[in-house]
Amino acid sequence: MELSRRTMLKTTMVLLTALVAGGWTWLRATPARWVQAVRAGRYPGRIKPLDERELQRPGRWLG
Amino acid sequence: MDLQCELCPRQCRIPPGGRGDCRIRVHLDGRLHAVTYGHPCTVHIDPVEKKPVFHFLPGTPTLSLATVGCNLHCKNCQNWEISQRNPEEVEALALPPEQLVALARQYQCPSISYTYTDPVVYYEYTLDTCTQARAAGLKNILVTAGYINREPARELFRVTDAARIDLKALSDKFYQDVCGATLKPVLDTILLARDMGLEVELIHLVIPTLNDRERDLQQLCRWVAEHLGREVPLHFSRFYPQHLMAHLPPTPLATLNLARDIARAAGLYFVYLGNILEPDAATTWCPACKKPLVRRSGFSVLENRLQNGACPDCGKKVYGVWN
Repeated sequence: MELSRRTMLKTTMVLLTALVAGGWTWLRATPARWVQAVRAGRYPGRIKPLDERELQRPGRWLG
Repeated sequence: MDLQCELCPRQCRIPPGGRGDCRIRVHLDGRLHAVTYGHPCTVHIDPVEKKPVFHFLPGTPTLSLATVGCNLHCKNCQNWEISQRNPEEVEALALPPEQLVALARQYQCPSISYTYTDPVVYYEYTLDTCTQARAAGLKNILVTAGYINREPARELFRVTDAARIDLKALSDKFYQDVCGATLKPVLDTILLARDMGLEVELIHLVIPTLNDRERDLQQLCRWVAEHLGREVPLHFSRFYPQHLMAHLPPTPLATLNLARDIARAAGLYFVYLGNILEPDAATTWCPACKKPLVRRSGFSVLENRLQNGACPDCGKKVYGVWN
């Protein structure tokens, strides 16, 4: 069967679109993997001053 | 695009703006952030016996810290007010690793303990502080449930000296039902710590009706003896009604005594009872001549007869780091 220029272009476009869409979906589905996080230093809660008298007492927490 | 945190076996997949199951590892600007880095919610100087760690520098103070968050969700957690809270809900200090090391030196603590919640989740803070502490000649103690992946554990253990690890049960079902975790990674962590030469001590909280059957205790003690050896200290701790398990009674003393008998029958040398004031519950006995070596009461060392880590009577070397 003879492949016309129009058919060839159409087939190429379909293949390219499928490739790009597949790659995009794969990228979306495969998350970037992290073991060590960025040392943020931006604590989202309130910061309190160090109480050195409290520091010298054993903690109320277990462990 | 989502991120996947590969620090612990949960492998949380975190969407932009979201946080991991531990509450403190946050996906911001396409990167994973440790938002409690340098921000402990609590810092205290504890006796090392409070961890409990009995075979590592006994009678010394240890600078102890935690940030909020945990990767386990134990229904019996005694520290749930910090372990099961978001950083937004709990005030914290600003203490970067170098300041922690300076505090430990200022207060003459030979060690720093990463404790109260779980140092696994504030991994980067623990790792950096351990590294700096070791460079300053201090020791590092992890107090952990051991729920961490192998590679990050290996990296952390390289700068750690001792690990007090929870072995909550030798049952995957228990870990799933009570802690929202799994057993195998914990066992792997315990074995890795032992293989890497850390001073390892295990703790088992005995909870009535959940992990206090004779058969369960036998199985656990046999696993310890077979896989870690008879010298690894095992602490049986008394349960008190807490958090989501306020309906259960405290562990009867008879159950703790039974656990100790089972452990000794399995061949374990160093078995202790914790969260309880009983004579000799926390005494270290010489495995060879059976004489008392270290007597403790509560978190205090009353008497330490060891000489260079050995029994003064028969010369038997005792597992641990004593000086």
